[in-house]
Amino acid sequence: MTKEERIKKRYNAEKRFKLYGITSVVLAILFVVFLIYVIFSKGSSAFQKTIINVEINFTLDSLYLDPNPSKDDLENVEYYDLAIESLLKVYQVNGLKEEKALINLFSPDYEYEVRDFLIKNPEFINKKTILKLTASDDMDQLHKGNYPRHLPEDRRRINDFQLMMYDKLVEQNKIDKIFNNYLFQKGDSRNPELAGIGGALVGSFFTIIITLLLSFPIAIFASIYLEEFAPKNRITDFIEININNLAAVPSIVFGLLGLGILLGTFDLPRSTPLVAGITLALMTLPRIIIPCRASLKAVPPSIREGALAVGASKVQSVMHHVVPLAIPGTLSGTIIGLAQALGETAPLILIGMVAFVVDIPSIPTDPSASLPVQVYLWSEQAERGFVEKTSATIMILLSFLITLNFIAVYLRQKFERKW
Amino acid sequence: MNLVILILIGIFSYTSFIYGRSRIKKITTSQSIKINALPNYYGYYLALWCALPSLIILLVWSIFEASIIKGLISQTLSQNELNVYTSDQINLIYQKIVSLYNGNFSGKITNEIKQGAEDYKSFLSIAQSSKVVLLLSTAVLTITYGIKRISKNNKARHDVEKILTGLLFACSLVAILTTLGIIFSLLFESIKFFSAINIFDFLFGTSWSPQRAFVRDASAITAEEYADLKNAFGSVPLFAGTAFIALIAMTVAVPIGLFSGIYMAEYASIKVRKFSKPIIEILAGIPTVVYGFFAALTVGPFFREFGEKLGLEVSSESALAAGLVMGVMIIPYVSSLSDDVINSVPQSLRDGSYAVGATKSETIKRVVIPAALPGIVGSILLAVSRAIGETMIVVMAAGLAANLTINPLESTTTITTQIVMLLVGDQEFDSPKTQSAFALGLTLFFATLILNYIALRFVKKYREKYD
Amino acid sequence: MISNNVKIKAQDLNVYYGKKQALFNVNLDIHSKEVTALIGPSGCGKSTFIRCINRMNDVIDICKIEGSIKIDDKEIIDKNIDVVRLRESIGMVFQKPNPFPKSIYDNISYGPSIHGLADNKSDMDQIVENSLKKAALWEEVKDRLDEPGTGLSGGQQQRLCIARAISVNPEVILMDEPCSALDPIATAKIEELIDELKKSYTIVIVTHSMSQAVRVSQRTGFFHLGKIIEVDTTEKIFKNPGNQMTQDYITGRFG
Repeated sequence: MTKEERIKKRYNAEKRFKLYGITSVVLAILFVVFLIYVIFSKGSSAFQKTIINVEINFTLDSLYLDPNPSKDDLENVEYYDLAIESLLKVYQVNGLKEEKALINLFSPDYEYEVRDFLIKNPEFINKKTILKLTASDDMDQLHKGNYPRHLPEDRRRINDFQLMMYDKLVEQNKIDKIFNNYLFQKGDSRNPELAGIGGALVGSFFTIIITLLLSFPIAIFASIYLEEFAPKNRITDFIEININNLAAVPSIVFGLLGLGILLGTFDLPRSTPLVAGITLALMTLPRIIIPCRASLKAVPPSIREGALAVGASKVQSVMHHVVPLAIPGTLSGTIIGLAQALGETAPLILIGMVAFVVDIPSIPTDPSASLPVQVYLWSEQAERGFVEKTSATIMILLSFLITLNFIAVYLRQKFERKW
Repeated sequence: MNLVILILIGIFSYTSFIYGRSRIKKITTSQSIKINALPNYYGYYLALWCALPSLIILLVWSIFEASIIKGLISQTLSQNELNVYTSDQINLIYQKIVSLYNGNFSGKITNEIKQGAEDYKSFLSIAQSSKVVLLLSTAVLTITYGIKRISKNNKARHDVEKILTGLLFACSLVAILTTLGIIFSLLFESIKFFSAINIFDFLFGTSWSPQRAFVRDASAITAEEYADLKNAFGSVPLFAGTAFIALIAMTVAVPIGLFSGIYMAEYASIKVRKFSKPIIEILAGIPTVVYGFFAALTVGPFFREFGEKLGLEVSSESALAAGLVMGVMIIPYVSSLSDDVINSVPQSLRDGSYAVGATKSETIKRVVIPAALPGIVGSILLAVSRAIGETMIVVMAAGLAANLTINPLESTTTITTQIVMLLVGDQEFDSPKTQSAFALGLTLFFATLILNYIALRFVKKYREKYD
Repeated sequence: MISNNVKIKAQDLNVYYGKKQALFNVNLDIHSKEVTALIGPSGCGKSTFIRCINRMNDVIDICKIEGSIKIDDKEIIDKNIDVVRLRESIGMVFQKPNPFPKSIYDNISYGPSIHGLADNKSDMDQIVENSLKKAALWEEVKDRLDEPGTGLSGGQQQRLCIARAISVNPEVILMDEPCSALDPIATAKIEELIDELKKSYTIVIVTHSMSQAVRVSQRTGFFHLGKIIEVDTTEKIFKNPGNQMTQDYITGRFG
């Protein structure tokens, strides 16, 4: 090989190498973009729900009420008959089979939707109005364009008659899409159109608060001790080794810990944010200790010496002078640790947060789910409608995480001091 | 109730603080002596003596109160001569008793349950009152002790700081406690498991089908049942599945991660780096349940359809799909760590190589990477450890059937998937099935521990060279 | 003997680091097969200058070079020049010895293997031996070629770096304060080596030590604040400088 050929070969190798690098970076970025795109495209439709306009006449007779009903009366009365009667007026139907088909266009909660409206707006007694009642899951998916209507009738759940009603109702503008408040207000449900993340949101909130309240102080104190007061002996080494190990233990092992000790030995209530919070706090502890120690280490010795020279005790110099300077870096690390805890699923599954929880929990010892666990549970469901709900939940979860990370980065940049 | 107690402790402590502070002031004016610390510290001292012992007692009491009451009632139940209950039945009855007490029991109320609820009620009130008495007397004792000390003009600031340092030390012990807790809870159940199943059958057996384990009580296994069980808990297919999926993941993550790390450390301009590094790190911040969902929803079906078109039989829960998505998740672990490690190779080495007439890629390939190798290997090992311990992606995208195979188009299961599957659903807590989950957890814990240890040794060796 | 052939000719050389200018209109001739010393106070551009000769400043993003440097009458401040080949013909030894974390053998064979100078192992062995001999290191390391280069003493490491520079058969060797990190005995060995090397190579040496310049060089250039103040034979510069500033520096009035 001549000199020229060799040099050319070497430069080609250089170009190829650089190309591999660029390709890898681009691929990684593409993965991110693709993932987010798929989730968002599948999830955005969940923020709307399909409704059907139904005319309801709240006559006293239809509700078997006496004149001037009290609030209690309104709550205790049966709404079933009024609801069915109004539903059947939406479309011309003959015979039981067609009636059933019409009623199945609606989500099975129609009775309660009518009831809730009147209780909230009692002035409508004896008046007529048009209510937007939630459509069934199949209708919802059909209206959003996700339903395979081209399939032969025996292979789908919506029969031809229902399809015909749907088309006519669309023509008459009786079907519409509105903002899906159920997504945020309601708890879990077997029916996708009625399912919401209300329970999971509150569950995650309680869990994170407990995680924060437990892990933050203990982590800070532990870091202060290890960084400022611990003597260089074997116990300290042992503690440090433990912390580094714990940071790398798979999260599912913490789930086993929670199951074995918190639920087993201490008999705490299953499926609650309390237990989840404690479990996640133990997991988050090392992840806060490590950045906190780094921040403490970064404070120059001159600060400590300055305080000591003025006659402060060691404790005073640490608490009054060093720790305040290390707080920004620590906060940053804490927020990132919390963000990781927010997204954890495996340990929570093991401590039982897979319960089907319909009611929104009111205290941390009520059983609940959390956002990521809700994602897991819904992803196991067969109904098509859950796909968009799951994706929407992921969107909401990701936005929390992004916000938390932004705050952490902002804090770090704003308070970063270059010594 | 506990909330009230906490508030009371708070009020007492505050009062003690005020009292301690004023007391020391009185002492110094009446005896006109100098005091050893600022008055506030005497206040803190007394407040700590008031609060700390009470809080500790409250905490310990609350932790154990429930189990003790349960134990007492369970004992009464198990002494019933008419029916001999298993521990699970006792559990069930206990839960009914508690719901009856709480007013939301809707089943048939037997005499036993009624009696149990009354017992529960009385136990609870005894517990409550003794708790209050204990706390009050503790508070009185400790406060008195504290006042005595103050009157003797102790070095309050010194003592307070000592208590504070002790508190700090206690917090750092939590890490050890956690590790101990993990090992204890894993070992406890695993030992129960290994009393039923031979450890060699577990570690080296090649057939995993826990559904066959109907036995409730490990000590009551008959010989035939044992022979059957012997073949139900062989975890080799799990180890293989875990390793296989991790291998697929690393095949994706190592090239992409390493090359991105190299590109960003050596070639990229500051602008490009500022832009791409955070985006790639987003991959690390996305919860794994999202990856799992993505794999089950998009990647798995895609491979199956694609395979069908090529005439191949691809499971919709293929190891390939799970491994690929896991690999994407691991990319930032490899790329970030490699980036840092490469950046810390001193510039003088590169200069030496350029001066001899090497191109940039030759310098990287033959000088920089070999110099950074221990650090890079360390980061890869840490990534492998992450892959092995990963749960959600495999639970949602990989299979549930233990399958010893090297075909990535089939579905296999992993250690973590099985742990979840064994513990979810209605399981009796003391069966070999649930115990095996802990045994698996123990194996996982040690495997990742060893990997992490080796990885850190590598990184340490590298740092020694250049720091 | 003082030769008259100009190997390297710098003309109107201006170098900028970002907005800051480091060299101002430098004009300097380096003559072939002799040692040219560059002296002057710290930070006045000597290192910058020699790094221009083998285009090492390209590694620094914000560095901009204007002007001309010709080697053997060929312009090298030119985008089209193949830097890799250029550096094959110019060797560089740095202030702090920087052997690769490889074996002694691999340190030397690195350059030749990249440029394809050996067809087989025995050729490479020969190149390694020759380079180490020329760098006066062979006797000390010939029995431990497999040991890491970083395990040698400071002086030995620097001679290893010189051997590495020589291994690719350069015509010019640039030395940037090669002895500043070494003890006097190691320094003396290297100065001896330089004296021997000038028979085969053109050498430019940046040095802080004026006595070193006197000992090893035939020509000397005096830099101050990025400008070349005076350049002449070493004898003239040190016995009878033409410029007052040179006189002041040599007599220790500043720097």
